[in-house]
Amino acid sequence: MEKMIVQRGRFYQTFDLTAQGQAGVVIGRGFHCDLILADSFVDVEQLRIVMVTDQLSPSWQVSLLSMTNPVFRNGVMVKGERVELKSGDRLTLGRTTLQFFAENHAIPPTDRFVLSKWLTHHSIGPMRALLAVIAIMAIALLSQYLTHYEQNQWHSFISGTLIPPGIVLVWTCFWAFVGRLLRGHTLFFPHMFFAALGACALLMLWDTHGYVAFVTNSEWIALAADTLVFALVAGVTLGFQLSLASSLRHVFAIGIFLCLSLAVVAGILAISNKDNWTSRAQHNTALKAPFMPSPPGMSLDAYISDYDNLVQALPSQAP
Amino acid sequence: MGHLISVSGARAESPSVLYDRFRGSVFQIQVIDKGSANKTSIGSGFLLDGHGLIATNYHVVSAHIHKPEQHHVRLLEQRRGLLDAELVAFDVIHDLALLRVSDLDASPAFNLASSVPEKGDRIYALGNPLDLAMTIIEGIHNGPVESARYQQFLFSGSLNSGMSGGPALNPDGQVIGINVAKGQEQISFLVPVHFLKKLIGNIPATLATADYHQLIEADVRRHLSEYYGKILADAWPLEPLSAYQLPDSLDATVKCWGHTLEKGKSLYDEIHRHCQTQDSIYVSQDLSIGYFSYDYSFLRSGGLNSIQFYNLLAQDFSADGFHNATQSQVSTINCRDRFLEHVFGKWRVTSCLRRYHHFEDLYDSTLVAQRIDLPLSSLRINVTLAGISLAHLKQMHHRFLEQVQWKK
Repeated sequence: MEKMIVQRGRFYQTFDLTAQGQAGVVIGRGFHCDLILADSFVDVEQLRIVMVTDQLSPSWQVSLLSMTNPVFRNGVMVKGERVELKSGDRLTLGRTTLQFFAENHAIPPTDRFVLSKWLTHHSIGPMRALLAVIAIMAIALLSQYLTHYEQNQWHSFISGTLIPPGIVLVWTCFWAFVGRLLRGHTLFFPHMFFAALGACALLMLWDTHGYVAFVTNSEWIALAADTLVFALVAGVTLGFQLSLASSLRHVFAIGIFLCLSLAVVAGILAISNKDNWTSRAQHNTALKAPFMPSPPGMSLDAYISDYDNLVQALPSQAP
Repeated sequence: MGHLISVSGARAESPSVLYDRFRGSVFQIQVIDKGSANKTSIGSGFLLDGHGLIATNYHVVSAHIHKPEQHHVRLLEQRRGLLDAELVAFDVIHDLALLRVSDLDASPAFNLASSVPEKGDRIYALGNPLDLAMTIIEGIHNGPVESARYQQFLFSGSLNSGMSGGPALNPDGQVIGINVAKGQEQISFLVPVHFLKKLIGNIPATLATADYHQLIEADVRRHLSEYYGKILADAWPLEPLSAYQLPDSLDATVKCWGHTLEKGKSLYDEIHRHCQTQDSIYVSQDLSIGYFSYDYSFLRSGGLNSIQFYNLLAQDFSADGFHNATQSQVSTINCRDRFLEHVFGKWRVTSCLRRYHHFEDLYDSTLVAQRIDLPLSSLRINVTLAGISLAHLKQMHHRFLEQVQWKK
């Protein structure tokens, strides 16, 4: 039997569609309709759905009974007299969405990436969240180890390893609270899992700066790359958390947009506060790119004679 | 100590006699801000002849020299109050200035000593410290300062600000030097009187305010050019630092210090040597030129792996800061980062330069070079030259990098 899902906001109901001869199923706001929609943007009689049996296989068609309000099929306005409905089609009228499913609705094979199931929130339990937190601690410990120069610095090891998961925990609590308020679901462990994955990515990408500064020989480009990496990673993480905690759409775009705006505002503040005249030389402090052999060097004479160009590039007039 | 004075000779006069004799010939010099009609700086000065020629320090009147349209120079005479003084000559290098007060009626003029006192001789300095009162202080002459960039006498006594420009006298009452600066407790400096004699001999016929800057520029550039020219002409002494042979003190004016961090708790060795000049040329309140320093830092891993050691190096790789100057005096800084292939090993080298706007062909520079081809040891060289011509700068940097020697 064909099904029709009627959805309004977060609430939905499923109906069975039965063929009713030529009259079909009339949908509208009027009390005489077969399906009554309490939606002030829907006409008294808005549309009719009939089963057409004069073909080889029966099909379902929609005809508009009123042109006052537009009806959209899969986001495209329905213009003609009659439109054929396919299984899975989504009709939008007023604030209501109707989704039509034929009895033989074919579920298409998934084209989403392998992790998608792994990332759906009902499959994320405490175990996965805990593994992600352990991953952050491992990465933090490794980075502490690679930058430690003194013996007996166990307190810095311990604090350095505990601070990232601590931040993740506070962040998780915040989002769990937001989710509780907006959706009535805490979803603590899914939030923790995504926050921890985001933190892992940020910790690992920390050294991007060194590479970019080295390759482009410019601190500014490195800074821009840093900002972009931050906005992408933090934005995607934020997107997952928004999708869990709210009913917003386009969560990843919103997340990336928010993080990018934040970075741009921070950048503008930093630039406007900065005295651009300084007695400290701003040079590229990357010795060489980490884990890469250094490129061939120039001769001392060539280096020194290049000073003429360096001097040429200096501003010659006081501002 | 009282009996020592009586031993020092019959002709020597006691401080009270000297003070009585010269109290009318030492004056307070005030630089008056025309806007507020109040003094912005004070110093002392003393009478040189019967026509109102006064000697003082360049730095006492430098506010007038840099902004003559904003500042008057006045002399405070005890009976007649403030009198206008006119600048007739100055010597920025040795920090001397000559003023003329045309209607000054004072005596006696000071005599300039023809001989340098012996080390250990008792001398007396006159001046008006902190605008309190004209004072006389007693101290010991301790001869020329070996490490001074331009010759100064060491005076073991307590000069204070405001006494600058006052005379330092031998017990006969002859001027042997001009008060100029104080170091620390009981360490003060005098400008030897022969520089004053030279300045008196070279008083220009007229000194227009428009010429002030050109005179400063010419003096400063001549001095710097002679200074670096001499250093470059000399052979540079090399001293070992671990497996390296590195230039040590290049000149008497450069002093070197060193220390080694021993490996009790840390996982690497660190040996430093730091050399710098003791003084620079005072040009104005916010500009001193001529600072020169270089230092070496040798690092060797004890227990660090090569990634940890690399992170350690990367953390410290930065050029020294420039000395302060204002935006109107110097340009922004331009840096160049390169890899350098040396006779032995490979280096990461960064040079940063900025230009002086009001001094032709004069630059501040810092150089930092870090050896990067050895996984577990490295040498970093920092060279800071504040105020140097491009030609000398290239030669200095070339020589610093060229003269490094290393044996496995």
